Amino acid sequence: MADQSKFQEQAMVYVDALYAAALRMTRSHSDAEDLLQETFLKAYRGYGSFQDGTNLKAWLYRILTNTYINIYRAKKRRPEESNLEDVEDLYMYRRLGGLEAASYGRSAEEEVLDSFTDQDVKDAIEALPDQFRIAVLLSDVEGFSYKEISEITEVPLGTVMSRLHRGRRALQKALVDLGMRRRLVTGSR
Amino acid sequence: MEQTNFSGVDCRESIARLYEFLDNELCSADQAAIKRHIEHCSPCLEAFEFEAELKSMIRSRLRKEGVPLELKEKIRKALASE
Repeated sequence: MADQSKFQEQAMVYVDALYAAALRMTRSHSDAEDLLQETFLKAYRGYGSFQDGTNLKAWLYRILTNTYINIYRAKKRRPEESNLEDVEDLYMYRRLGGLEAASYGRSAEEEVLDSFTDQDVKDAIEALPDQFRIAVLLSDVEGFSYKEISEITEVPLGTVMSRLHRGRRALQKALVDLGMRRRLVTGSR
Repeated sequence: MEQTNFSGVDCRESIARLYEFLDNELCSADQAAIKRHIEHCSPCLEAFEFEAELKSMIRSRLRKEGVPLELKEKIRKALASE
């Protein structure tokens, strides 16, 4: 059993990462602040049930994710799975492959990737439906394993893999669409 | 992409397992088999390198915001008064 007096020093280590995840989940600074505070209070109150020596970071993300889903799912009930357009593997790569390198020494693919700003990627990920967005965040940004994500989001491993796979492809589609609007990407290979 | 078979893994399988490979989710035998395939198959290697770069680009673009100091203080105070 974990000692509540040590909660602050142990949990505050993850506050920046949790805040960044809260921002991407809620898409709003004020909601992210509320979500983060609520997460820390819940975690503090429940710290007695946390098993010392197990994965504190994953435990905190589980509380964050559950709190987010409980608060915000209640606000807007909309179907999630259906409204994500599915595209093929290597969607982006196949559309960048035909580009000529614009400057010497760098590949055209690298140039397109470099051209995306922080805001571009934030907008693209925030446009994904919740369950896909959360899976991609936990994997690509936080570096959790599939098993950890399955525990954090309380769904089977196969569901995690499918959400990640579809979420990543949808993210590629959003970035390719943006590249096409900017005329950085033209068509298929 | 042409289907070329190296070390028992063809291009289709290597692309299907690309993300499990990049995420370090394969068992060591499968990881090694895919690795041998991409070492011998330059179209697959290029695709793997691109996806790895994309993954790291996404990570680097989304990691930058730290929590505002006032919020950190608010949380500390709220915990102290619990």
